[in-house]
Order: sequence, then structure tokens, then C-alpha cells
Amino acid sequence: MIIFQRKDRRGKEFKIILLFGTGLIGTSIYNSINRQAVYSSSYFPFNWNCPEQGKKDAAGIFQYLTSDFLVSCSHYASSQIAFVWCAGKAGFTATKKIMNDELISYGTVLDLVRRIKESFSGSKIFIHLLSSSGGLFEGQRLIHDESVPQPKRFYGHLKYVQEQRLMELNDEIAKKVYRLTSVYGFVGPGQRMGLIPTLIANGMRNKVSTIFGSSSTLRDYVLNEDVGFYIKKKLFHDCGSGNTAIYLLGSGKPSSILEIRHFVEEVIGRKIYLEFRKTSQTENTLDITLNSSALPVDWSPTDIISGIRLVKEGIISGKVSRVPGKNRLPFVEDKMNSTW
Amino acid sequence: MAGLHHANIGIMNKIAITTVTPVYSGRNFLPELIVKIEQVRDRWRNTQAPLELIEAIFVNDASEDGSLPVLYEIQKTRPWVNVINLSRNFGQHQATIAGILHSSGDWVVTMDEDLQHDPSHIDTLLESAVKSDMDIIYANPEQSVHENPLRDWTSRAFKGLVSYATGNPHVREFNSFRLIRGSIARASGSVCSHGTYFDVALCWFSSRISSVKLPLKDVRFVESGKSGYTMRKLFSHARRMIVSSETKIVRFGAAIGFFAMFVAVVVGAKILFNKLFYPESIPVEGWTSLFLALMFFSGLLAILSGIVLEYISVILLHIQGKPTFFVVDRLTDRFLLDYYQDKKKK
Repeated sequence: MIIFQRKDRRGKEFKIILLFGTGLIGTSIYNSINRQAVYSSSYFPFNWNCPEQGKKDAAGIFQYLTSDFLVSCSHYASSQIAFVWCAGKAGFTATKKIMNDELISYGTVLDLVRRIKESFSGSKIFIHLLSSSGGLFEGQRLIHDESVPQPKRFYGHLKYVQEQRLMELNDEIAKKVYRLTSVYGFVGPGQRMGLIPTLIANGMRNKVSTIFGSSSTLRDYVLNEDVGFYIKKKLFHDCGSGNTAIYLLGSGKPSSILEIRHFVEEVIGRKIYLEFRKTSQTENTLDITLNSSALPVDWSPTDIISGIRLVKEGIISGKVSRVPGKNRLPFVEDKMNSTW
Repeated sequence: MAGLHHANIGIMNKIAITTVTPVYSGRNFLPELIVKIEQVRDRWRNTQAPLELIEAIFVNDASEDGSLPVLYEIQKTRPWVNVINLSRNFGQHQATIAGILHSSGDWVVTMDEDLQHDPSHIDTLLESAVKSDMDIIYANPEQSVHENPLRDWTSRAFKGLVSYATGNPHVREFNSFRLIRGSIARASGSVCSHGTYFDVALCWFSSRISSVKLPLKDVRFVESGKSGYTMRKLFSHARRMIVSSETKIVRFGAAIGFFAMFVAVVVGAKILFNKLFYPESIPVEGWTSLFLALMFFSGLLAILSGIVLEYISVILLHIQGKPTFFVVDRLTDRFLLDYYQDKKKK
């Protein structure tokens, strides 16, 4: 995890951002914050594979945050501490064990939030939770603000429980939940990429992509950089808004896999080879689409063709986002995932 | 409806319908049109029908008559209305495709803005589709659309001509009031380029196409005498239809060439026979052989041109996205069929 901090010398503003997770979305948030160039960042280990180690790591983070200097800064005119949770290894096919492990890590972070709240009584505390529209509303179309979550798999239950536990926290803690649709993007090899970069990467190498869905499955695709930019905007400029807010982040335009395939072929100028597979464990055929009127007014997603072009440029140029504490491999062919 | 278990209707327990309406000059018609669409939506809800009109998509094709503010006004009180605003005027087909590609419904209904197509007929289209196991149903007029025999005849003759030239029997049924299975509508829309004729692309994905006769009336033409289709537009439609289709006329040309070659060879053999054994039977020398040589090589050129054009046609269709295959799920149709049969019994 990464800790960003900013304190101006005139004693007016003090802000700490704790970013848990540096995957596809976490890296995008990291990049967006880093572009501001006014935050210093430090890497801290946080293990979510081993709960005991995770607790020790959380204790280390707490110790750092409660150093005399930082606590003294919390009395600045504007003092804020924001937690961003976009961590976890659970995907759509997560098992019950993965779900439980991730909930333990999440619980450790919520405990840390409570302790920080006690130590920084003068600071405003925010939690930004990255949730999933797909997990919560799988099989629902035109999801809107009042849609009722009906998770169908462990991943969806995980997101549902995470949201509920967040809402149980002290009312003084501001809670922001981002329900994302199908996120795609490229931040370097070895990371989860989503359908579109997989098709681009495999298409450029004339490799077959395996789809656990059908060609007419509808999804709402959103670019990782848009999400990173939006959350950064909320971290920096949405400090005074209500204590609880839920944002549906998507494009508002459903796209079938056939449509995506066509766009990717157009952008890369090559044929895409697809193999469709259906198994009970991996089946992923239900439609998930968003009502465009439910999207936040200050949210402007990149259109799908421009997004595909950006991802293609990223893959071709071998652009790798450098995040502290992450040793990413150079572009190694075998590390690319050929399935979705 | 207790038996509903299909993947995509598991949660909503309803079959989702989307309407798509391209808008160019519909300011005066839109308020009435949305009321009619809403009546259908409410009727399905009130009668517990297994159908839900989940969205009405209006695509503003750079209208200049102030349709957009009217649409935004309509959208304010109806969250199920989705307004898409195109950057410039792209034309009716492109606007329809844009709307289809924004849709989520199991079935998509496309209709004009000018009340020519009554939304209350959506039920008739749906019933016809599930009863006859179809993927696409066109509404065709049961009587004169324009109340002008010449205009109606021109329209029919034009479609007949294009149908013959392209070898596509469904061209006669093409109409902008259509019901399309959602997955097929979106698949066709996604492969269409600017030059592709949308209805021809639909034929690439399904041959289960039919039509029902409905009382359609071009109110705008009847009242003002003005039609949205000028002669230029008709020719443009014909051009796109032919370019998007496998052109039967090319094969016809090649067949004529083959016939000319065959005649030239047979007659040439006879002339040669006469020349060798009955030379006195040829009064004027040179003319026949010249004519036969011309006929033979013209035929050969026609065949070769036909082959080249056939190659180009295959490449063009490949570029335009004609699929090798497409998988479709018709499982939910039986629930609709049960519903319409129960309704009839009552």
C-alpha cells in the first residue's frame, strides 16, 4: 500500500491518503495523484494473503501515522485522512475461501480506520471503497440508483458485505462507494487487464482469446484512467460533501463482445480469434448494463473506441506504470493472460 | 411465469423491450409519441404481462427544429427515456444503429418519430415473432401509406427492383417499423459501417424474417405532401443496398457471357466444319469468323469480369463484417408464446 501526504508550511492544510491496492485501478489512482506533484509518497507492505501478517503490517502503518509530527499536523486548519480500498485478489471466479480471506484483510483496514479516528480526533476521515456493479447486480440491466443488489456469486457477496461493513462505521467518517462496471486498461504485464486489453494483446500476436461468455453478452466498459482521475478528483475536491455517497461509474452504453471484437479489429487492423467456452464454474454470460441517467453529473467517461486506441498505444509502447514496492516484469509474452 | 429461469431474465422476471426512435424533425410529434409509448409500458405493468419496456431511446440526429429540448423535457420526468445526441446529421439508418447499440433489451423495436408507427402495435409484432419463431418482424402497410397511388406504387416498384438486383427476397418487406431480437440487432449494428444497409446486415444474421400487415399511415406526407424520402435519398438507399448485398446482377452478367461463349464455340465449330467440307456454302468470307471471335472474347471477358466482381463482393462483405456464424438464444420465446396464448383464451 502507498501513503501520500501533503502538508503546507503555513500550517493550513494537512492531508494523508492511504491507498490499499496497486492493481489496475490502484495504479491508475496512484498515477492520477502523482501527476499533482505536491504529494510525497511512501510504500508500506500490507499482506492480504496472510491475515496475521496483515495485522502486523497494519500495526506498522498505524505506528507511522501516529508519529508525533503527523499527529501535531492534524491540528492544521484543514486536516484530512482518506483511505482508498481498491485491493484484493478476488475476481468474478473467486471461491468462498478467497472471499473470506479478503474480508479478513478488509476488516483489518476498517480496524485501522477506527483507531486512526480516535488518534486524529481533529481530522476529517474519509473512506473510498471501490465496489463492483457487476458483482452486486449481475444479470440486471439498466442499473440505477435504486437498483437492489442481488449478488449471484462469492465475488458479489464479498462486495456486498464490504459495503455493509463500511456503512456500519461511525457516522463521522465520510463514506464514498464507487460501483464500477467492467474496467479495462493496461498498466503493465502481470496485472489483471480485462477483456479489451486481452483481445488487443492476443490479436497483435495472432493468438486465440478464450471467452467464458457468449458473443452477445452485454457489459458496460470503463477505462481505468477515467476511474483513477475521478477518484483523485473526489479525494481532492469533494471533501465537504455529504458523509455517504454511492457513485455508479460506467459508460452508460452497453457493448456486446461482438461489438468490442469489431472495434478492436478495426483499431489493431488484424483479425481477432475467439474461442467461446461455457463451464459452470466460469460461466459469465449474464448481461450487466447501466442506466446512463444514473451516472454522476461530474463524470465524463472516454468513449470506447478512444479507450481501445489508448490501451493499444500503451501495450505497443510497453508503457509500464512504476508503483513503489512493485517490481514489474518487463513485457514477457507468457505472462499475458489469454482468457477473459 | 413461475418457470422463468433463463439467465438474463432471472432477476427482472420479465422480457425486456427497448424502443429506438431516430429524431430529425419530430418536435410536433414527440409529446404524443412518448404518451403512446408510455401507455404501452403502463399497460404491460398493470396487466402483469411478462414484458417490461425498460427504455425508450431517442437519437437526436442533429435536428434543427428544436426537437432536442423537447426530448430533454420528456426525459426529466421519465427516467426510462434515454436521449442520445449525435454530433452531426448522419442519417436515419445511422441514428437507428446508434440507438440500437445503446440498447439493452431482449427485443428492440425501431420506429419513426412522426406517429406513422403506433407503439400499440408492438404487441402484434411480438406475438407474430414468437408464434412464427422469427427473429425479425417488419410492419408492412395493409393499405395505402401515403394516400397517393403513384407514391405507393413507386415505393413498391423500387423495392421490387432492388430485390431482384440483389437477390434478397426480404427487401420488399423492409420497413423502419421493425421488431428485432436484441442480440441480432446489436450484432448487426456493430458490424455496420457507413456504407452498409442496416436491413441487409440483419439478413446476414438471420433468415427468420417475416412481416405483418398493420395500418400504417405517413401522417406527415398525407398532411403536408412532403416526404422524408427524396429521389436522391431513394437512389442513395438503392446504392447502399446493392453495395451491401451479394449482387445477383453480377452473376447474371457472367451467365450471359458464358452463354455467348458457348454459342460462339458451337456456331464456330459448325462454320469450321462447313469451311472444311462445304466451302461453297459460305458466300461472304471473314465476316462470320470476325463476329464469332468477337462474341467468344466478349463472353470470356464477361465471365472474367464476373469472377473478379465476385471476388470483390466477397472481400467487401468480409470487410463489412458479414459473419461466419452467429449464436442465438431463443429460449425465452416460449414464455411469451404462453402469455399470448393465455391472453387469447381469456
